[in-house]
Amino acid sequence: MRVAAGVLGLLVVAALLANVIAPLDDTAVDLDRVLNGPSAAHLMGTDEVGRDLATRVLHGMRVSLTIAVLAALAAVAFGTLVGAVAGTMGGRVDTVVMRFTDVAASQNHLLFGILLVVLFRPALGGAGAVMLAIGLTHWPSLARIVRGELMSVRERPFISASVGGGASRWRLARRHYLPHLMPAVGLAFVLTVPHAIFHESAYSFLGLGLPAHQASLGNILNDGQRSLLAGGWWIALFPGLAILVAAMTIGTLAEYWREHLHPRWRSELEL
Amino acid sequence: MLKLILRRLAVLPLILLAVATVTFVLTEISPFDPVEAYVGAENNVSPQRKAEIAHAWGFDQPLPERFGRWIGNLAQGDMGNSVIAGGQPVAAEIASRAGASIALVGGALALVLVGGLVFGVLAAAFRGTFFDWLVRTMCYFNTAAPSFWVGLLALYLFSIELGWLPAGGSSDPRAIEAAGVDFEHLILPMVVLSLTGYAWFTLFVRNTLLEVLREDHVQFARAQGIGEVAVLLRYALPNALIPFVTLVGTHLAELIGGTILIEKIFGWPGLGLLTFNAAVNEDIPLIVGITLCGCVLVVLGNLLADVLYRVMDPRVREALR
Amino acid sequence: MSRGRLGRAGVVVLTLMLGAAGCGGSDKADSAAAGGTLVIALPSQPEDLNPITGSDNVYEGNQKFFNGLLRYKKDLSAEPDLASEMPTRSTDAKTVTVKLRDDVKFHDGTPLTAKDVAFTYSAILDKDSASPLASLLDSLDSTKAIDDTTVQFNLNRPDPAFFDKLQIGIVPAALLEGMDIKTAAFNRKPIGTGPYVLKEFQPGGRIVMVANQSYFRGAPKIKRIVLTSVEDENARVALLEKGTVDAAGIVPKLAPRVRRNSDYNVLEIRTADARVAALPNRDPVLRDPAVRRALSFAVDRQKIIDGTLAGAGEPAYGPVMKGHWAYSPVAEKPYDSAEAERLLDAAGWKRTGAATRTKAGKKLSFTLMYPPADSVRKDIALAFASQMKQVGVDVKLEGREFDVIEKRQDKGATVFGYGTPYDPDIELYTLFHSKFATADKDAFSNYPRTTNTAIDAALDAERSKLDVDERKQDFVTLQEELAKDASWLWLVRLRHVVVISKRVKGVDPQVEPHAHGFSRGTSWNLEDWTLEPKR
Repeated sequence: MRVAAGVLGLLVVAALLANVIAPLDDTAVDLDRVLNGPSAAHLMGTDEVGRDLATRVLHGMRVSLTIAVLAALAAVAFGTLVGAVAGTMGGRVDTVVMRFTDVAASQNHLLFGILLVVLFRPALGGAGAVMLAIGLTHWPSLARIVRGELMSVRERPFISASVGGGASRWRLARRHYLPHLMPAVGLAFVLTVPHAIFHESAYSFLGLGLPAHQASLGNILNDGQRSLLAGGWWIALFPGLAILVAAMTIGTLAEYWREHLHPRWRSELEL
Repeated sequence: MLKLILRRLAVLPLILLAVATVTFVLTEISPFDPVEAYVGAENNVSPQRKAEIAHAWGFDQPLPERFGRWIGNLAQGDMGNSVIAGGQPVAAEIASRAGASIALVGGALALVLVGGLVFGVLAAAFRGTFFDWLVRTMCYFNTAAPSFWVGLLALYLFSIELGWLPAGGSSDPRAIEAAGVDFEHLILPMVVLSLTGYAWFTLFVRNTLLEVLREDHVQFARAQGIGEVAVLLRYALPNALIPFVTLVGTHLAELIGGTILIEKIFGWPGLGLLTFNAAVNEDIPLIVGITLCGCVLVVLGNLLADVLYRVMDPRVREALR
Repeated sequence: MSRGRLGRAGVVVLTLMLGAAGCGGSDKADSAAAGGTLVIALPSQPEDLNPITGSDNVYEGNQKFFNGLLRYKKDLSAEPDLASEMPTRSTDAKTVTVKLRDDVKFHDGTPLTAKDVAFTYSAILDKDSASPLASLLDSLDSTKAIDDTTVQFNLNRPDPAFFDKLQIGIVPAALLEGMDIKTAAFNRKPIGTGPYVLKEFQPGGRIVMVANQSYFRGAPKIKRIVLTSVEDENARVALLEKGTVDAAGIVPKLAPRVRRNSDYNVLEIRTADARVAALPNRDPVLRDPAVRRALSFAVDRQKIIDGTLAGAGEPAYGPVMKGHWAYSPVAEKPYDSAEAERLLDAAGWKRTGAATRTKAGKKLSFTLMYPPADSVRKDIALAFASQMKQVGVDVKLEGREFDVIEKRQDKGATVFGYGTPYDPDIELYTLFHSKFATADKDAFSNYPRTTNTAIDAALDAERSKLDVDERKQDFVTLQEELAKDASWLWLVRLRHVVVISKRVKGVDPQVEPHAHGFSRGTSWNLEDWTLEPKR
């Protein structure tokens, strides 16, 4: 537990400081040092055009984390909106919206996401399209959580008291609903991030994500596949390890948080 | 029960219509240009020629007409023609590739269920020991490690470096009889595909078993002097199996996504590879067709899960009477 | 469950697995004895086997199921294939007449007639076919079958390159008449006149072809050929090493590994396929020809070849490749970064130290786009950008799909792939003529929007003559003017690395065009190859 927190903290700090530790130049090509193995000069070796892999993995971590966080935010935003509509309006609206959510929830993320990426890539660019795809495929569980929380809060006595005291919907939302939702949504957001990391790297691996010369963990893995037999096993190993470590530490922390605060969410969030 | 099944099946066309509408709307509002994708680049094609191509494929008709025609065709099972794959009907393309994926997904599902059950039970039986810790750690690893990364490393290690298993494809290209699926080629992609699901199921079985083991009727059985193994298998396991079985339906959706990555890595000629090629070639009719089929599959999977749940849980059966 | 029972079950499972694996092995022995199967691995499966719709390249679209009226010999000169003799031109060169052989049959037994030829060419021009070859036949007005063995092509201009367009595979009119060609089942079940007949098409997997016993030139020696699609580069090499596959195109980086294997010949085949950066004339920085000319000196082409292509390439300085009859060495300029810096200084772009050059407050910077799916292009773009940096030019890389590149035509340079080993007019006219620089024209014709009268004059001149020596003069002039204009920065010409088992005899590759995997340039005489049995 503590180990996980420590490792994650280190990763985040390293990623944030990536520009300071080892400034990245995508074009820092060195054609004399193509595909060199790990050494003192290059801790993780060099890639197929001679760029230092450790720098690229570090920046790839930063890029992948950034995109994952933004995509998870998009999922949260959309999911909260839908869940709020269902939770506050109840009745028929609730039924229809939740049916719609059920159907959306049952779609496979990658398959539907691929359609979205291909359609919106010309307009939003690789990164934007990937964020949209992840956001539009991961919102259902968030919608369910928000709706559930709202429905339980609505029944509480202090809400009736507020309404009795003449509170407007807006005031109710701001002072009571929102604070109650915050921890739930926050936890759900954190639990979505590892999935977002995985999906971003999957899209990039398929060549549908960020432009290929930029450093993202999925892109580097894609390059790694091409270099496997030429001996470049390190290009395939290290970015995967980075994804693994990031996903494990975030996941462990979030699980710990969940176990202690919301044990009944286990089935809900096993995404 | 029958009523449940019929009701769910009746809703299926509505769900499909909704999904079809959503995808159509998405295709419309996106700036994607199907003619460009068809023509490819580095072709000296004049705008006038492009207009001709658009007309030939019917891209230039007004919106409501196109939508109506598309929905009408869908109702008859005609999902349009693939723009890239030699103009062949999408439905036929999907049908021809489904078999290979079914073999792959079926095998993986079997591994997930059997492996999950076996190792989940064993981990629960030996809880607290090194074995339990080992199983749990490997499972955490597998759920966090990207499946395509593991697939790459597996391909490299077992097929390319060690040469124990074939390096991709579904059968020996040299074989005289018609190409199909053979076991030797199936092993590696099937195992890799099952890893994430297997890890998750193992943990689930273990945790559910541990919870059930704390319940009264189990304690009572223990008090009666019944051996630990028997307690586990006869009293705890059946209860754990009920939710387990319902998750099979939902796991199907996961496996569909998994095939896209695994089939690409191993060159497995199934629907996943078809989806990947369609994405690279920006063949929208094909992608949409596969999405709709995936939707049907998932809805049916969920229905199956619900039916099984009702069949297996005696409390629900009683309540339904 | 006792341990004993588990143990026995385990043994049973193991035996079954081994048995299954064993089954695979015995099949291999059977097929080897069955008299020669050649297995070729391609990077992707050909989706459409119809010459009309399946390819934008006249020569590659044939597979081995079809023949054209003419075909190329080893040195790329044309000779009759389905034609009985070389075609004749009318005096005004606007009519081309072809006499056909009378002994050719399609795979279904029906005889080939002029009607089939007329149908094929008309179908390509038909709007409803949406054929990628239509713009290639821009000089063709109509095709008529005069009698069973005579075809007449009516052109709208004298086209010196027309004989290079007669390689298109001929399809049977009877099977496609009246159908929607772009969605016909024929596209996956081709019937042609070629040396091989399609036996099996496994979607996403393999294509099996068997020898056409009644081929008009005599049945091919190798009776069975399997084309299997293996997308992963490493897997293709692994299959070669295991002997599962007899021939494949591989990436140059993996060549050293295969060279160590004594069962294979590793061929490095010259191609006309070049990678070139098209520099838009309307870009504020690139509009100055002096700047464009300077950039060429700053590219260390050999280093790019050694670093990104593992040595499988040659420097490219112009659209025509060395060794081609139309080639002129006028554009060859060695790598000289000092000269580049001198020229840039002279053009007013100065710099201090290692910073980017500036002129009147503006930076010497431009965007370079490349299609991200192509890793070789990405590597070349990266190498190019880093070399430009050395001389103070800032290149911003962008990975964009072609439909996006089209919309940003004037906003950035792009890495393209062009080059034909056949008649240069086919490609060069639309790439360089100012006619194609206007806004209403497709972005991929004359991408830089060059309007240069000298270039236009040279192009119009070569197009209006038929004599090869006279046209060569025009092409020399063209290459001189292109070098002065420098809108196209030619970088490298690729070489394809093809690995073929030593058991295969008769391989004699032609120079190849832009192609993927096993191109026609290698397999042009596939029907004459022989396969020695395994020892």
